[in-house]
Amino acid sequence: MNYNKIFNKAFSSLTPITKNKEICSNVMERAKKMNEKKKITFKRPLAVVIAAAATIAAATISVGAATGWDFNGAFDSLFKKNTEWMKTSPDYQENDIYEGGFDFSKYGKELDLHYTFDDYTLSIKGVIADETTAYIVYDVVFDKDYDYKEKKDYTNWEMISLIETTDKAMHTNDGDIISVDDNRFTFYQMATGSTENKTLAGNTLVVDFYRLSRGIENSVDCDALYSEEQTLDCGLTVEIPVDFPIYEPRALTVSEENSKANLIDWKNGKEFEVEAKLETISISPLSCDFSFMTVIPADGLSKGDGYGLDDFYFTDTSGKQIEFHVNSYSVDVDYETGAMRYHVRLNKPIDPDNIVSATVGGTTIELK
Amino acid sequence: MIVITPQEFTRLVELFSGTVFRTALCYVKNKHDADDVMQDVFLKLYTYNKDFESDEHVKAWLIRVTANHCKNLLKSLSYRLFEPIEKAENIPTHEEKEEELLSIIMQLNQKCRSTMYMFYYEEYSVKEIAAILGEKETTITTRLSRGRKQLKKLLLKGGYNELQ
Repeated sequence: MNYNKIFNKAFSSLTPITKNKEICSNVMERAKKMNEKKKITFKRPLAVVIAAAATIAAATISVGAATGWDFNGAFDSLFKKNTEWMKTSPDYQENDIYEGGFDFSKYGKELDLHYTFDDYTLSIKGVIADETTAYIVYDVVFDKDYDYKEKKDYTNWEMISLIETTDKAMHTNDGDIISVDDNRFTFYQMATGSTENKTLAGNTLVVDFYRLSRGIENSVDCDALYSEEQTLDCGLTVEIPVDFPIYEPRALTVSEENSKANLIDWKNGKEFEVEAKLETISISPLSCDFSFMTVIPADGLSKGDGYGLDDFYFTDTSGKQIEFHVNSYSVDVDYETGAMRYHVRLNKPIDPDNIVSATVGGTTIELK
Repeated sequence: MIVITPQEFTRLVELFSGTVFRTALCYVKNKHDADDVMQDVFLKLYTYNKDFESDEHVKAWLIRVTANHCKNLLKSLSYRLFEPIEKAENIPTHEEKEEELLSIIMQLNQKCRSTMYMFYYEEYSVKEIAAILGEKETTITTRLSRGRKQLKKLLLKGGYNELQ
């Protein structure tokens, strides 16, 4: 899910009922009356604004050595988990689910960092990334004598954590438990960011692990998230330099012939087709980019509209269609020229070298 | 340095009325109450007798004051007794698709909703939100983490398999 996009879509066209001019006159009138009555009481202390927050100290006891875990297996489980929910979707198809077998070991980095706390050990296992997306997998292994087991009505354990790059261009987008094996809980965190002149290569991922917790969800009292909570503090900050090979995109220029594609313009909740020409495609195992030049409709391209891709799938060397239910995508639109750039994050990995064609906007383009 | 003169105030209303309105809406879930809160908050700004360092400083101050004002309003007995009609209905604000998404966001826990709004819409960092709201960073990240999970569930339930 692209939460920035969701919030932008929901809130961007919301405006106050009262016009700005009216707000000013109302406020000035009220202030004048208050002044006359000498009842001005709004002298509040200066708010603390954007103060630097306290540094979180890493409460580690030890940083251990590698224990020989399965890098491929860990990321395989992540993407299996990532596509599993599709089974409940009404338009579910068998190949929606990632079945495993992708070789993640070519890129990314095995980290094997172990931090021991009073009741559990946190092990950061590995990271994979392309230019705009990073996945980190880590384990929490509870001490056997700690009360970690499943409890009636309790939610799953969750690690409250945040990833940001040092330049703040990318941050946490998603995270969850991948698997539970007795006292071993495997989690992932995903960070995503803008593609605009930024790349994760050479950047540093700063991961703040705040605390582990679980509780009973409270649907009645809106002031309390959970009525009861079991919490273990963590307070650990780990910096992961992206000094390892990341998935570089395979960039392709689309030939003039057969590059016509149709995009969808959601205007006021209705779908319209927008004629476009696909210009470039770049594909990495974790995400892909498409750039289009649209034929600007007579009524123009509007900022409030949503611009979507229809019929988006790849075909591999064996002729099999690889369809995606995208994790999220972002669209950059140049409203003057009609240029549009889609950045799509995939919910299962692909090998760009195995892709022979892309079908997008109703048009199939051979990739050479 | 920003000194609140009538001219400066007019400029700040132009600049931040939307932010104050949307922040208030995240708390009170009602467009008319949000509008009232917004006017009260701007009255506080107009009668505030200290200067601000920058527009960003004003914005952060406005968000904090809006949050506090809304919290007080939500706590007040009269507000609880006369629950606004809009709460149980769709918020008739804008176009269908956006309205649908907004209704889903409004089903989130209030604390998660306002925190996610500040993070994902206003693009404040966790540290900044913590400072503005006077909360711990861990509290903010907890709300973001749980808010994301809640929202994901609600979106899937609402048929949003992918965001279009």
